Amino acid sequence: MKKIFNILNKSLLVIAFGIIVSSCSDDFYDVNENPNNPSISTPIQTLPTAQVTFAELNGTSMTYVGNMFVYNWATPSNWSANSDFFRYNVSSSFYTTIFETSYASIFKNLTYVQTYEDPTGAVDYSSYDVIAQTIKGFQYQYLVDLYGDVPFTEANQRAENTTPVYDDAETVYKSVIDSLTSAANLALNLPENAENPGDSDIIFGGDMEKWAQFANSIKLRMLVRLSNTGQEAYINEQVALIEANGAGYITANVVANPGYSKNADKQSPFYDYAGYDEGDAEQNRHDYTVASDYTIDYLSSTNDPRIGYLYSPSEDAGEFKGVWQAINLPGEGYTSGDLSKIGEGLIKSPEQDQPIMLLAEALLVQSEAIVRGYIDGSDADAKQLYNDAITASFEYLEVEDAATEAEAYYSQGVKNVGWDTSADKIEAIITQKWIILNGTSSIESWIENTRTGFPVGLPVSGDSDGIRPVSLLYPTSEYSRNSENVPPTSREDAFTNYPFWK
Amino acid sequence: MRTNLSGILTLLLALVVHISFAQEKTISGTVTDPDGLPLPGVNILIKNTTHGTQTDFDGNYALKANVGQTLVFTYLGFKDDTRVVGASSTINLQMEEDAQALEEVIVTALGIERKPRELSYSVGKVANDQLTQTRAVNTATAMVGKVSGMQINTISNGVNPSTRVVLRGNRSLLGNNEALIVVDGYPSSRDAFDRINPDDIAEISVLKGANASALYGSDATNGVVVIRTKSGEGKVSITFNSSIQQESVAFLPELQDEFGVGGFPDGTLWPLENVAWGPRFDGRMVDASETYEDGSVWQVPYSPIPGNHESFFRTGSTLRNGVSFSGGDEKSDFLFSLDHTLTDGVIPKDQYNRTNIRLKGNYDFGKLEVGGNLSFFRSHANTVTSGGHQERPLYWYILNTPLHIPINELKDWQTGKFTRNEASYYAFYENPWFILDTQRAKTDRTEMTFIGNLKYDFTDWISASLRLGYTKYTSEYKEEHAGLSYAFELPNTYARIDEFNPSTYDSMYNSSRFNSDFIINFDKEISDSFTVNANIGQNIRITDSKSINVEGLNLIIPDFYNISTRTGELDGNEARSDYRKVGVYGDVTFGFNDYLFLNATARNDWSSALPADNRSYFYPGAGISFVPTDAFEGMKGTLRYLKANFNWTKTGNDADPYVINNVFSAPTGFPYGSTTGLSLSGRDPDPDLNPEFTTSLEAGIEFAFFKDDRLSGSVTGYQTNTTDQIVPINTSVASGATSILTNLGEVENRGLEVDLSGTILKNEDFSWELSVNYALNSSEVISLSDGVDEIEIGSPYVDGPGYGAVVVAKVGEAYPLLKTTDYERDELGRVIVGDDGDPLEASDLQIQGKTTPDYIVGLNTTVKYKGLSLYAVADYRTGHVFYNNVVDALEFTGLTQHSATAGRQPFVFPNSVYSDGTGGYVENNDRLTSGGGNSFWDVYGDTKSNYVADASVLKLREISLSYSFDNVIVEKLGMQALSLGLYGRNLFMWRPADNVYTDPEFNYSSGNAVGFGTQSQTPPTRQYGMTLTAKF
Repeated sequence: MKKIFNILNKSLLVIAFGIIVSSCSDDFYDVNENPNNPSISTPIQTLPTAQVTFAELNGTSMTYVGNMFVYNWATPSNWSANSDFFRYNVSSSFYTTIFETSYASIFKNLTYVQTYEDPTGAVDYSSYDVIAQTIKGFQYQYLVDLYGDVPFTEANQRAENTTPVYDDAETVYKSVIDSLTSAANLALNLPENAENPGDSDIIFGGDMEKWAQFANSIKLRMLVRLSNTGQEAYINEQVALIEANGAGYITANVVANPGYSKNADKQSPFYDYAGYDEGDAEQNRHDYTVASDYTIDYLSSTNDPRIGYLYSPSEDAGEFKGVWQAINLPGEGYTSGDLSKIGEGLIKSPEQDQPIMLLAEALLVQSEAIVRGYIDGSDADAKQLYNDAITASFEYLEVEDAATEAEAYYSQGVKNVGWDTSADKIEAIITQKWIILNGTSSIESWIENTRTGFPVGLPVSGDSDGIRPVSLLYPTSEYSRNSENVPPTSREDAFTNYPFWK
Repeated sequence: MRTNLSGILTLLLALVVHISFAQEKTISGTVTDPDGLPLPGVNILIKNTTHGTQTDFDGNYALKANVGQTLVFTYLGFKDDTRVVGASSTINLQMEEDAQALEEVIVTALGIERKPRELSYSVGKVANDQLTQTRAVNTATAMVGKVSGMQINTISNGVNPSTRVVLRGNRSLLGNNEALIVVDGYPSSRDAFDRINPDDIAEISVLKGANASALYGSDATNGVVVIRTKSGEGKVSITFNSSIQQESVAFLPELQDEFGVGGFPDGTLWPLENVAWGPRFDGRMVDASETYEDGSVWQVPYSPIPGNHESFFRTGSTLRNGVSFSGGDEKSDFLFSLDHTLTDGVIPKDQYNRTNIRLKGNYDFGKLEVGGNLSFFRSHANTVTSGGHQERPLYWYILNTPLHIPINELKDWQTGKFTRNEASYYAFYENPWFILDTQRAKTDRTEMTFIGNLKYDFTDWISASLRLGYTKYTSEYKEEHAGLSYAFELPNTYARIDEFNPSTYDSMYNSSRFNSDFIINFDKEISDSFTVNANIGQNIRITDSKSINVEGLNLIIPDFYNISTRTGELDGNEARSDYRKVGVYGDVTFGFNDYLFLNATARNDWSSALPADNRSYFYPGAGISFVPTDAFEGMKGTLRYLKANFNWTKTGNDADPYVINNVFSAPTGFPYGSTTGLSLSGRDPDPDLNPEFTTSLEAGIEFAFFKDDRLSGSVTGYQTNTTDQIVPINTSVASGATSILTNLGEVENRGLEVDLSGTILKNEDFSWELSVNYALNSSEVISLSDGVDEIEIGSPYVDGPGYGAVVVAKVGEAYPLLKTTDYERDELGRVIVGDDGDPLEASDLQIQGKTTPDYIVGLNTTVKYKGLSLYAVADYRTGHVFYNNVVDALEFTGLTQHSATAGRQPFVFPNSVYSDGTGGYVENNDRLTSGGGNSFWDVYGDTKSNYVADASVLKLREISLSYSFDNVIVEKLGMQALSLGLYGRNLFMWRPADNVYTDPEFNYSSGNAVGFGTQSQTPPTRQYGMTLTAKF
C-alpha cells in the first residue's frame, strides 16, 4: 500500500513539474493565427469583391430609389410597403447603404488594391490603380450629387483617421475629374511589368483601353452635370483633355458579371432584388413593385414598344395598367394582380449582366455635350447620337427587331420622341434618358431631373407635400461616429439642399 | 486548578469504568437545540475511532459503544460537545449554539473553505432547499430574487430557457459581463448554470465582486457563482423525486377589439384582409375563406372572439423524475444521480427533454485524497422556428390573425375545404398552424464533464493539490422548412402567397475546455494568536471549438430534409477557435487572534489572444477583515456579531482569440464559379492591444443581533472602474473601416447591497422567517475615446428602414442606454406638431432611459408549522425602460389599443404643442391630426419612443407549500423521509399601466444590448405543479 502512495506521490510531482515546464515554452501560445480567414490577399483577389459590390449597389438600392423618385414605379393596394417613398420620408436612416456601402465596402477594397505593393518589387499594379480610380470616380460623382459635401481627402485611411473631414462638394468633383484624366492616361501608357487583372476584372476582363473609354465617359457625364454653373471654360478645357488621350467613349454597355448563376446569393443583383429567387419563387419586391399610371400612359401615348419590356401585362387582365403613388389605394382594382409589374426587358435571367453604364446613356451625354457646344459637332451629329441611344436602349431591352422598331419609334413626329419635332433638344434628351434608365441606373434619372426639371409634368407622390426630394441625408451612423465633421441636417434639407451644380 | 482536578477525576473515572464495564452496549438518545427542538443530522463519533452515526429527523440516534468511550457531538453552528459513556444507556444532549453561529464554512475560490470572518468581501449563499422548492429545471432561473446584486434575465422563454446572469451591473461595454460559473472548483462555461441539475447542488456561493480573480483569473471580473455539488454522507440512501408541472400563458398584449379587418380606405370591410383598419365589429356574417367556383364559402360572425390568440397556445406540462444514491463514511463517499425532464411547451408540438447524470466519489487514503466527478448532460428540443415566405417568428402569424377569425378552427391547412392553404383565410402570411406543423428546428446537445482532484498532505500544514477539469460539448442543430405548394388554384382569390420550396439547414458545433490548477497550500498556526494561510498556484486553460454548417435550398423531395436532395450549389461555412492561457498566482491570509485578517493576492497571466509583447499581465489585490465583537470583550450584548471588511482588487482581462488579426474573407456570393475574391475586414484591429483592467473597491459590515442571531444581515458598498476596455469603436464608415478594436473608455459602477434576515416567530411547532435583499446599482460611462461620445452596443434590427431603436453607451450617462426614434419636443418635453397637426419626428435618435434597474428588492419568507412549510420569493425592480418589437406587429395589424381610442378619427395629439411663430410654443388644443386611421398609425409606428415602456415589475417568483410526513409514518413505510409539495412559479406579475405588452425581463440576446424583446419570444407563462420526495 505504501508503495502505491509513493508512486502516486512521485507521479503527482512529475505531472505538476511537466505542466509548469510545458507552459514556459513560447509556441504554447502560438495558436492565435486566425484559421477561419486569411490575413493576406493580393489585388487580383480583392478587386472582384469591390466590383461585385459596386455592381450590386448600383443595380439595386440606387436604381430603386431613383426609379421611385422619378415616378416609374408604384406599389399595389395589397402591400404595406414603400411608404417612405410615398411620404418622401427621406431621413438619416433612409437608404443609408448608398453612402455606407460606397465607403465601407467598395472604396475600402479599392483602396487596398491601390496601395498594395508587391513584396518583391517585380510586379507593377498600375492597371489596378486605373480601375480603382475609375470606379471611385463613378461612385464619388453620385455621392456628391446625392449628399453634397462628402469625405474625400481624408477618407479610407481606416484606423489612421477614424473621423475624416467633409470636403467641399465642388472640390471633390474637380479632384475626381483630375483623377479620371490621369486614370485614362495611365490606362493607355502602362509600364511593361504591369500585371493585367484578366478575368478577375469582371467588367472589362482586363481590357485597359475600355477602362480609358469608361473613364472618359464618366468624366464627360460629370462635365455635362456642371451645365448650370457657368464654367464653360473649365468644361471645354477638360473636354480637350479627354479628346487628347484619343481613347474616345464607351462603345458598348458597361456591365459586370463575375459569373452570376441561379444559386442563393449568386444571382444577378437586379434579378435577385426585384425578380425571382434561386428557386423561381417571386420576390416580394417583384410583387409590390408595379408600374405607375403616369409612365404607362406616357409610353402608350408615344407608341413606345418598350412598354412591353419595361413592364409586363397584368396577371389578371393581361393589360398594361399602372397606379398612382400613394400609401392607401382603393382595395379593388389595384392589387398586384391587377397591375403591370417589372418587365422581362429588365428581368431576363439570373445570369444576366448587371449594367453599370448603358451605352444609350453615354450617347445621350455626348449628344447633350454637342447641343451645349462642349463637343464640336453639328445638330445632325447630336441627332445621330440621340437616335443611336434610342436604338441601343431597344437593343438592351431585347425588343424584337430592335433597330427597325427603334427607327419607327424615333421617326414619329412626337415631341421628345422625334429629334426634329422637339424644339428643346435638352428636354428631348433628358426625357429619353428617363425612359432609357427606367430600371437601370435610375438614380441618374432622378439627379438629371433635379438638374434640368425634365421630364416636364412628372407627378409627385400623393402622400407628399408636393415637392420632390433633391438630395439624401447623411446616415445616422455619421452623426454618432463622426459628429464633429458631418454637416448638420434636418428633414427639410432633402427638399432644399440642392447639389452645388444646380 | 479546579478544572484540572475534575479532568483528572474524569479520566480516572473513565479508566475505572472502562475496566469495570469493558463491554459494548447500545447507547441512544435525543439531541436538541437550545430551544429543545430536535436536531437532525448531528454527527456523533466515538473518539479515536472511525465509528459513528447521525441523528435522524427527530434528533434521535443509537449506536454501539463501550463504557468509558467518549462520544463527540458535532453540528454546524453549534459548539462541539462530548459525553463519556457511563452506566446509562441513554445520553440526551442539548447542544449549545456556537457564539459564532455565522461561522459556517463558506466555499470560496478553488474550493478553499473559509469562515466568513476571514473574508474581506461579500458572499451570498443559496442552499439546496432554496433552489429546489419549486422544482425549476433551470438552476439560474431558480436563483432569481435570492441574492442581492444578482440580476438574471430570460433570453428565450420557450421549452428550453436560457438566461443572462450579471452581478453588480454591467462593466464591460462590449465584452462579457456575465458571472463566471464554477462547479466543484472547475471554471465552467456559462451554460453550465442552465444545464446543471439543481438537485445535485449542495450549495451555491455567490462571490459578487472581482475579488476572486486572483484565483480564477480574468473570468472572475464579473463575479463568480461557486456551485458545490452534493457528496454522499452517512448510510446508503436512495432518494426519489418526482414532480409534475403545468404551464400556461399568463397574458398576451392587450389589443383593441372595436375595429375589424379592412381599410383602403379606412373603415371599408375587406373580410380577407389581415389588418384591422376596417369598420367596427357588428356581428354580421362575413367570409372567412376564399369563395369556390360553385359559390361555396365559409362565413363567420364579424365580432371579436374573446381570447382568440390565447387559445392558440395550450397548457404545457413538465414531468420530472430524479433518483439519487448516496452514502459515505469517514474515508469515502459517493453519489450517483439521474434526473430526467420531459416538457411539452405552451406552443403546441414543442417538446424538450433532458437527462442529467452525475457520478461522484472521494476516497481518503490518509495523506492522499482522491476524488472524481463525472457529469453528463443531454437534451433534445423540437421546436417551431421562424419560417414562411418572410421568415417570421410564429408569434407574428398568430398576431396577424384577426380577432373574429376562429384561429382554432383553421388547424386543417392540408385538407379542410375552407381551411386548406388554397382557400383559407390566410392570404398574406401563412396559417400559423402550417408554420407550427412544417417549420421545425431540432436541437441536440450533449455535454460530458470530468473533474478530478488529487490532494496530498506533506505535513499537517503543507499540502499540494491538483484539480483537472475537462468538458466536451457537442450541439447539433437541424432546421427543416417545408415549402408551400398548391394542389389547385381558385379563380379571383383576394390574395395568395406565392409557392416556395422546402429548405434545410444543418449545423454542428463542438467545443472542449480543459482547466488545471496545481496548488500548494500552507496553513500554519505560528503562535496561539497568529495564523498564516497561503496558496501558491498555477493554472492552465485550453479551449477550442469548431463549427460546420451547411444549407440546402429548394429541396426536390417534399418532407425529405437532406442537403443532398437540393437544387443549386451547396452553401456552407466552417469556423474554428483556439485559446490558451497560463496563470501563476498567490494568495495569503494572515490571521490575528481570530478577529483580524489581512489578505493579499497576486496573479500573472499569459494569454495567447494578446500580441506577444503584451501577452503577460499582472494584477494584485488586498483586503482586511475585522471582528470587533471578538476583539473587544465588553462589546457583545444584544449585538452578538459584527464584522467590518474592506477590499481592493485589480483584475486584468484579455481579448477574444484572433481579434488582433487584420483579415480577409470571401464575401457573400463568392466564389462565382471561377471568380474568387477576398474582401478586407471592416474592423481594423490595434496591433498593440493591451489587456483591460477592472479595479474594484468594496467595504461592508456583517452583523447579528439577539439570542440565536435572530436578526442578521450585511451591508456592502462597492465601486468598480473598468479601464482600457477592449472595445471595437464604431468609426465613421468613410474611414473605410466600420470599427477599430482598441483599448478605450472607462465605465464606473457604484452600488449598495443590503441583506437582512430574521426569525420573526419561533416556538416548538411554529416558525416564521423573513429575509430581504436590496441592491442599488448606478453606472456611468466616464469616457470613451477622443471625439467619440457615444458607441452603439447593439440592436435587434438590421440596418435599413425600420431601424429605430438601439442600445448605446454614452459619456456621462448610465450604461446601457436605450435610444429610439422620437418626436421633436419643446423644453417641457411636449411633442411638437406641425401645421397639419401631426407630430414632427426628430432626425436623430433620442435617449429614452437606461435598461438596467435602479434597484432590485427581493423578499424571501418561510413559515413552518410542524411538518407543513410555506415558502415564497418575490422581487421588485424599477427605474429602467424596455422596448419590445411585438408592437411593430400590433401597430401594423391595427390591433394596438391606442389606435382605437380616438375612434379612428383625427384627434388632438396628446400632450402636444405647436409653434407660436416667434420661437415659443403654445399648447395644442385644436389642431387635429391629419388622420386617425391606417396611414396615421403607420407613421406613428415609425416612432419607437411611442412604445418604450416602464420596465418596473413586481413578481411573485416562487411559492410552495410542502409537507414532511411524520417520522412515525415514514418509518412504518420503511423510509428515511417523505415529503409532498405544491408549488407555483411566476404566478403573479404586476406591471405599470403603460406596459400592455409583455414581460420586461425578456431580452433578445445574452449580449450587452439589454432592454430589447422581440416577437421571437412567445408570451410570458406561469407554472404550477406538485412534487413528491421519498428517501429510503
